[in-house]
Order: sequence, then C-alpha cells, then structure tokens
Amino acid sequence: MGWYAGIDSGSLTCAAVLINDRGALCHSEVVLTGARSRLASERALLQVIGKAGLNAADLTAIVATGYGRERVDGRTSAVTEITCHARGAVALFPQTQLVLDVGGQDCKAIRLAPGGKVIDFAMNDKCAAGTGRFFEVMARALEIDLDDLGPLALEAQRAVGLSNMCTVFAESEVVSLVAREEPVANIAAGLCSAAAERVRSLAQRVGVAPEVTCTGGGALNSGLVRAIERLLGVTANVPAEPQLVGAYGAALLGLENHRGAA
Amino acid sequence: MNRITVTRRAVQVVFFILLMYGAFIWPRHYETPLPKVPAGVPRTTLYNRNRILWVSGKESVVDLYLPALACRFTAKGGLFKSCILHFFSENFTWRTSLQIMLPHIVWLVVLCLLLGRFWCGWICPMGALMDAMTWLRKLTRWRQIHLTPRWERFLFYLRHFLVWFTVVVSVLIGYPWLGQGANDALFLIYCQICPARLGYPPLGLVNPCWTDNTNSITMFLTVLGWFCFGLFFLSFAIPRFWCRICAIGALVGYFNRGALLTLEKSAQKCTSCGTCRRSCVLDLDDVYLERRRPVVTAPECQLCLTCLEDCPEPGCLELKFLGRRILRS
Amino acid sequence: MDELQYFREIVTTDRRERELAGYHGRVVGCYCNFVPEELLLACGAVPVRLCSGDAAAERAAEAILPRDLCAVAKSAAGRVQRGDGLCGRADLLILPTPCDAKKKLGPVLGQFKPVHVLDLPPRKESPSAQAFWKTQIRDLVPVIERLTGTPLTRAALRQAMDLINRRHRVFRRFLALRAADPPRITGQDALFVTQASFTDDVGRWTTQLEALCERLEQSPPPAPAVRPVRLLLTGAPLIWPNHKLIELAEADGARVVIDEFCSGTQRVYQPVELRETSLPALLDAVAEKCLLPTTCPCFVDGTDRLNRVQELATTHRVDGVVYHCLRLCALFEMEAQAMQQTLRARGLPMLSVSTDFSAEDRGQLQTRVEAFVEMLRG
Repeated sequence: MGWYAGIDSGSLTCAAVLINDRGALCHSEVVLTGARSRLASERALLQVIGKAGLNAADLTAIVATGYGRERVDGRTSAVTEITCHARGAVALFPQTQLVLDVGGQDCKAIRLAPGGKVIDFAMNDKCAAGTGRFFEVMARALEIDLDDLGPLALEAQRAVGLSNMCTVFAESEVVSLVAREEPVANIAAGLCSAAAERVRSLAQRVGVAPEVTCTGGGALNSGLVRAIERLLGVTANVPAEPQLVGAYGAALLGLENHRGAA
Repeated sequence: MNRITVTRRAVQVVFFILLMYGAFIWPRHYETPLPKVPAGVPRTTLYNRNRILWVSGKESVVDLYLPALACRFTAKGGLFKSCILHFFSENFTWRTSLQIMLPHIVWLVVLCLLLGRFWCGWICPMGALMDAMTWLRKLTRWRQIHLTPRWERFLFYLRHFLVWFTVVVSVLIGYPWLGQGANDALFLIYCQICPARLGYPPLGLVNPCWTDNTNSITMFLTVLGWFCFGLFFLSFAIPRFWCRICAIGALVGYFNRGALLTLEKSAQKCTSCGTCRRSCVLDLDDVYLERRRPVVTAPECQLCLTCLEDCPEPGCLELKFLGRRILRS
Repeated sequence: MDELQYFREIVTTDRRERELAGYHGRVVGCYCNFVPEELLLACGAVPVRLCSGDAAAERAAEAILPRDLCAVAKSAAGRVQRGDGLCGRADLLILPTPCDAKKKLGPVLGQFKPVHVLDLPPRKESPSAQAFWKTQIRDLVPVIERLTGTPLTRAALRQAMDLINRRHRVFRRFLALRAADPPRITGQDALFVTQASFTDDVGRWTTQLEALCERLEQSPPPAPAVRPVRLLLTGAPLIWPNHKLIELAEADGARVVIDEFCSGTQRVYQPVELRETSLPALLDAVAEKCLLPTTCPCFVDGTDRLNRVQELATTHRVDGVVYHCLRLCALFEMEAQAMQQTLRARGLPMLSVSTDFSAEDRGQLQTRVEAFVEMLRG
C-alpha cells in the first residue's frame, strides 16, 4: 500500500496530510509555522506519519506547496498552492468552477474549466489586507478569539464601514471603534464584508461562476464566507477542513504523478 | 536580391520593344474595316484625323486593344491597336455599333479584371520610360521630390476629370450639332494632350504632328499637348509623374479593387514600419495605413511590388491571383 | 559556450568601459530606441544605450528625484549622477521623451552632462507627427556634427545604415533559433545577446552573433524529457541587472522563446531599406525607422503592440504570455487590459505581474509565474 504526503507550508500555518493510494485523506496535522518554515514542515510531517505509524521511507511521494515549498526537506516535488488548491477543491467538490482561497497572508481566486483544469487565477498584492493575518490582528484588537469572529459577525445588526483595509491602519480604527462602544459584532461584520470585497475583486478578475468553493483557513470564518456569498450572489461550498485543501491537493498530485509515471 | 525588380525591368524592356517596335518585327498590318455609319449621319472627323494626329498610314499588327499605353501613333502603327481610352473616344465619336464594339469591350474588361493596374506597372511603355528616368536620376544622385498632399489631391481630381471629360466630348462630337470645326478640333481630345502622341513617334524615328494651327481650339490643344509633354519629363524628379495625371490609368484603376490579381496584407504581421510607403513609387500610403481589410490594391496601385519586395516581415504582403499566393514578402 | 560568454561579459562586466576609456573619439549616451544610431555612427561617434536596471543606482537617485517615480528613470539618473561606467565616459546624452519621467529627466541629467532632448510626438501614425519627428532628427544632425567635428555625408550614412542593417539581419536569423522547437537558447541568454548591443561595437556584435548562430545551428538540438512550456514576455523592459522576472519564468523548465521588450527583440529588429539614396531621403528613412515600428505604450494607439504580440505568439508557437508591469509606469499597466482581452479572445492565457527592481517580492512573483507555468502545463 502506498502513502502520499502533502505539505502546505504557509506563512501562518503548516499543514500536512497523508492519503492512501485510493486518494482518501487518512491523517492530517496543522502546526504553526513560526519563524522557520523548514522546521515547521518537518514537524508537521513527522507528526502526521507518526499518527499513521509509518516511517518517512514508507511514503511514495511528498509534495510540498505553499509559500515555503522550496524549504520542505525530503520533498519529491514542489507545486504552487494555486494548482494544489484547485486540485483539492475539485476532489472535494467536482463541480467547482471558482476556488476562493483565503490563506494566512494572501488570497487567490482560481478559475477552473469543466474537468478541473486551471484556466486563470488572480492573487492579491504583497499586502496582508483581508487575509488570515488580518483577521488574527483584528480579533486581538477586538479582544475576542479568532474562532469567534465569524459567528459573531453573523449576529450583527449592521456592518460597520471601515475606511482602511491596511492591517496596521484598520487595527487602530477597530481600536477606536471599540472605544466608541460600537458593538463588537457589528465591527466583526464590517471586517468580514471589507475582506469579502477584496475577494470579490479578485474573483471578478478571473470571472465569477456559480459553483464556488472556499478554501484556506479563511473559509473557517463563517462570517467571511457569508459575506462572500452575499457579494457574489452564490452559495459557496465549504469543506469540513478548508485549511487542509492545499495539502490534500498536493498529496493527490503526488498520487497522480506516481500513477502517471507507473 | 531584388528579384522582383529585376524581373519587372526585364518584363518592361520586353514589352517596350514589343509594343513600340512590334510592327517592325512583324510587319503584317491589320486592316480595320471602316466602321459602319448609319446613312445620313456625317462621318465627322473620320477622314480628317490625319491632319490633327500623326498616323503611320498603317493600322496595328493585331486588331487588339490593351489597357496600357499601346499607342496607335507609334511608328508603323504598333503591335496592338491602341490604348483603352483611345478605343472608347474613337468609337464613341464614330458611334460604332455595340455589336462591333462588344467583343473589344469584353476583351478589355477581362484584361482589366484579370490584372488590374498591373498593366501600368509592368507593361506600359510610358511607365517603362518614366522608370528609366528615375533610374537616371538615382544614377546622377538627384534627390526625389515629393508632391504635397494638396497637389496629389488636385491631380486625383484632374485625372478623373480627364477620363469623364474625354468620354463626354467623344460622345458629343459624334453628333452633328457641334459643327464640323469643333468636331475636327476635339476629336480624340485626350490623345491630343497625351505625351505618348508626341513621345512615341520620335522613338520610331518619325515625326509626330507637332503643331496644328487650324483654329484657336487646335492651337490651344497644341500648346497644351506640349505642356503635358513637358510634364512627362517631371518624372525625372517625381517618379512616374505622368501616371498621376494619366486618364488611361485612372480608367483601368476603376477595376483595380475588383481585379483577380491582388496585393494583400496581413495586419497582424505588419509592424507599421513604413517601409512600404517609402518604397512606393507613387507615394501611396494605402498599404501602410490599412489595418483591417486584407486587400490593399488601391485604385492607384500599379502592382509594381516594390513594397512587397522591401517589406521586412515575412508573409506580411502577398500577391495573390484568385486567392492563390504567387509571391510573398 | 564561449560564444554566449562574450555577450554575458559585455553586459555584466566593465569590459566596454575599459575599451572606451582608451578611445579618442566621442561617445554618445542614448536612452530608449528612438535615437538614430546610424546618424551617430556616420558622424564617427560611438552610440551607447545607457538604460539600466540597477537597483542601487535607483536608490541613489532618490537624492535628486522623487521616490514615487519609475525605477527605469530613477536608475538612469542615478547612474549619471554617480558617473557610473559609460555614463561617466559619455560626451553627450540624447534623451527622447516618451513618458513624463523621461521628459523631466532632461534638466536633471543636465546638471551632470550635456543633454540633447529629442521630442517625441504623442502619436506616431499621423502625418503631422511624422513630419515633426523628421524635423527632430534633422535638427539632431548639426548637434552631432558639432560634437564630433565630422560633417554628415551621404556615403557615411549609407555605410552606417548598411552596418546596422547587417546587424538586424543576423538578429533575425537568431530569432529563428528561438522559434525552433525546442528553442536552442534560453530567454535570458537571448536577453544578454540583445542587451550586449546596448554598448557593444556594432560590427563586432554582429560578427559575434553570426558565430553564435553558426554554433547553435550546427550543434545538435537539445532534447528535453518534457516539452518546455513556451512563454512570451512583453510589457515594461527588463534591463540588466534586473533580470528577476525572466530568471523566475525559466527556473521551472519553462522557456521564454521570445520577448517583445524594447530592451530585447525590438532593439535590433528593424532593418531599413535603401531605395532612395539622397541624404534627406536616407535621413527620413532612418527617422521613420526609429519611430514607426516601435510598440512603446507612450503613444496614444496601442494596436501595434497587440498585433506584434499576437504575431510573435504565432510564429514562436507560444503557450502563454507574461506581461511585465513596472510599478509606477502607468503606460504599460494601462495597456495590460486591452492585451488581456485580445489574447483571451484568441485563447492565449496571459499573466500580468507588477514588480520593480527590488528583490523583496521574489517569492510572490515566483508563486505567480510558477502557477502560471503549471496551469499551462495543464
């Protein structure tokens, strides 16, 4: 029996998954990247094979993706997160036409042809506005847990308009809003719609389609997903563990590559 | 290297000799039967033209007209009968029946539709003479003079005016109202000012009819004829200058866009470098400017193909006959 | 390969600077491709193109120029200010005015060197614009004549035009090697070849490229295991040492089989015919050659570049187009959308990336370019 590992070495977290040769996701592990992505990916990989009770030698392929893909030791290949997210999203939702990935420090919109082939993609600039990092900072400013931000936003009466999306400026704006005793839920909703705006503009660059799948850690934020759905006028597919989609796609690519070669 | 130009020069020399001296080589002169004129209609200038226009006393070797300056006033009558404009002006004046004219008209239209103004660029002996002048100029390193757009515009109107003026006058003098004097004076009005009438006979070592002082009209046309003959020599500084006035070319030009021989351009391959415009003997910018339609044979284009030869983009310009490629840049 | 090494050496070392240090004639620094090199050569001057992609010079120029200015303009100014290499050697700088930055660069460079500004018309297809440009070139003649003390003659200009034409004929032969499948040379090496022509002696460059072509034509074609993805690069010029984008594009087994840069293919592409050979006719032909075929987005109408990219994509059998936007150069960025639409209509994918001379966005850029290549590979 062959085992395939996918490692998504992102800027905030590093996810590792293990699939068997039928493509089923067997084990997964997410660790914080910290300062050294090389160590984080190593740790994630070791933990995930430990869970399965395997050795590194039992793995047929290790495919690395994400920002730190070039620094994953022992990888058999490195593939960009765009291809991996697309592959993972298609494996989970075969009808997917548009993948919206909100990651730790960037977001992307990936347009797929029927059959899952990438035909266009767009990424945000080198700026963390509207990404996982952005929400992390904002949650801290709101003095709530990051996981609570989404559900809280769904309860909001109205969304507060934010004048600036720069993480640094938005943080101080949030702080002053809190000081003005604006309900936290409204601020959270405001943050979610502002971030969704960004995602929408990316989606529009590649072309909006009805079958949307949200991936990446950002998809854990239900408030953000709802805001995106509202702006795009669609119902988005959200995987159970969206933060693993990239790593899962990478592992699937490893499996397919191996089959292709054999 | 410059294969097209070399071929064209060779073709021009061959046709120059053929058209100018064909009658010397094949002295089998075709006798045209006199046109049938309905009873009671004066035969107007039919018998008087010798006085106005020099003729060799012989007709051509073959009874065929050409859409190029195969002039009937060439020494010994020439190989072909005459140019296309002469055909129309003569026969309109004579009121030749359509039955007699039709085969000739069909022949001329077919020639025009086949090759368009390729006749001007490759066959016309006048064109060859003008090209020789340009060659002489380059040899002596004189610079080319470019006409201003206003002059080009003026000459455009002039040559089209000449076509229709010639046709209208030819038809009018076919009727007796204008009187014998006017008829005699205005017969073959375009030929009277065409530089070929004065230029061709001396090349066959005979004298053209230099002057005609019958009346004020003929004297005016004599002077105008000399003036145009002088203009012809402007071709030394302005390449193919007479082509810019020539009514024969303007007439053939009406067929140029519809002709089967076309110059086509691929807009995508074009880099707009302007080489075609600089190369063009007639300073045409149609090839340079065209961005959408493939066919770039303007009514003025003589298909001399210098643009095709100079175009640095492979396949950008193509010479096609019936859609089939013959040459490409 | 030794033949390639020559071009790398010209671009990356100070070899030309050392050669020209011992040269007694005049050296004229040029910017862009609008300056008629034929004219300079005919008067006995050595033309060198001083455009630069030097990030250090760019930072240095921030002392005399605003920070929010395109890197090409800043870096050009920085090099002149510091007297770098051939910028120090040049006796005169000729500066065309395609964009606002270059327009206002004249007085800035003028603080350090004599500058002659060549005014460019805002569109190139109108007769008045062309007449204006020809006047600009005619007015340049006495400037060069005074500088070198050599009057311009018909014979000398013709000879110079022949020299340049020969260079461009060889370059077209070289392009065929890039169009081959698989391409015989990497895009970056090809960029070294074209950028060596910035400063190199025209005749020697031509001879060297002939040798390189010979070598590439005779050596067996490379046989890669997988067919490399064939890319076309267009947009703002990549100029040494700013080869970041092309390095990344080719890192993953893709090949830039053709570029459409003014610092690349365009630079040595256009020949000029010699049908009318009087001095004014030759000057006009050279003037038109410098203006009409350029695809610089500084002109109102961008159709020529759309056509050019499509044509190159066809002849070089390109799989995808990478469009380089230089940050703070609005011109290229504004044309990107029209390009995207045109190429999409033809089913040709295009990736637009926006970057500058700095190395900090290398990772981001790499992800984009790599993902694009993966996408093309399918």
